[in-house]
Amino acid sequence: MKIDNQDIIRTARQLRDKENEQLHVSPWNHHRHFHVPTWLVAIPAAAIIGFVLGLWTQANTNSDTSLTALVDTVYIKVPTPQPQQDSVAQTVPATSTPTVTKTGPRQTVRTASAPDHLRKTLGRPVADDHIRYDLLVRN
Amino acid sequence: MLIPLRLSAQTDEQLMLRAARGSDRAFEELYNRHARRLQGFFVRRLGDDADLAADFMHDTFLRLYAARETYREGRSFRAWLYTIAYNLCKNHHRNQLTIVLGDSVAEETAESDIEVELDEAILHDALHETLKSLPEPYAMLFSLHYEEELTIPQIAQITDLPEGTVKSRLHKIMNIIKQQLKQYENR
Repeated sequence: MKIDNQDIIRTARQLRDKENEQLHVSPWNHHRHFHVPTWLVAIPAAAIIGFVLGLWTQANTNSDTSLTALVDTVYIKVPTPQPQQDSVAQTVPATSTPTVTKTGPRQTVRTASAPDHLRKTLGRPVADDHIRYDLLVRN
Repeated sequence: MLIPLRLSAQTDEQLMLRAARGSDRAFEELYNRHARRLQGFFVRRLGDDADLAADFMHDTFLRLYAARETYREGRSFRAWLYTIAYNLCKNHHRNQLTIVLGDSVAEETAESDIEVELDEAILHDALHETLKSLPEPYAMLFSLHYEEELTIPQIAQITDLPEGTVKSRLHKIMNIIKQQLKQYENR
């Protein structure tokens, strides 16, 4: 068979293909000089995700609850001294004990011959059970 | 302008442009396309040393990656790739490739058209041996043009030679090969 340039070129390319097929070529990443370790990415990523998830779940838990619902009614019992029974006071006809309501106006106890500075007494326990209902706080 | 989403549908130049803009996936696609062929080129040019060829191929792509931002639109990717590869080979052979192709063998065979008659089966082995025995400067030009299928202007750009010189040298190389194949005629 007579050999011309085209035969030589064709044969050379066949040889090239045959040689190239036998080669082991590493993937590109294998050749990279700089690798970021997986853990160096995974740990901060997990921390950030955990932080965001924590914020999100906590926000969901408390979002519908008002602050006042968390505080129960508080009753304050203040021990108060018994009113003194003096002779002057006994001469005065007994007055009915005013009932005190939580929202009622301030009560005063008057005695007939008491000095002026004692006539008005603010915040005195006037109820029978000596509870300062005016100090009762409801939240 | 619409850019095709699939990297495999893009040309080398489009991929290199994307790589120049920071796409590592585009560069990886280029690597997948050309690594095997380039490694084969190095195997043939470095005397069948597969490990050295793999290192050179690796080095070529690393240099390309390092210089990817300097890529300009319109430049041939393969010409750029093989310029780096050629220079690596040239350094490896310690300036052997700069020898002027004007020695006696080339001069003798340049003018005559040699006729060779060989069986197809013999041609494979004979050509394999002949290409191995070619002096490196000739083998390099033969490889770039006939095996790697680079055009004469691209080879001129890679080797920094005038196109006319490349053409005439390729003609001489073909005659040298035929002359050497003639030795196998009577075997």
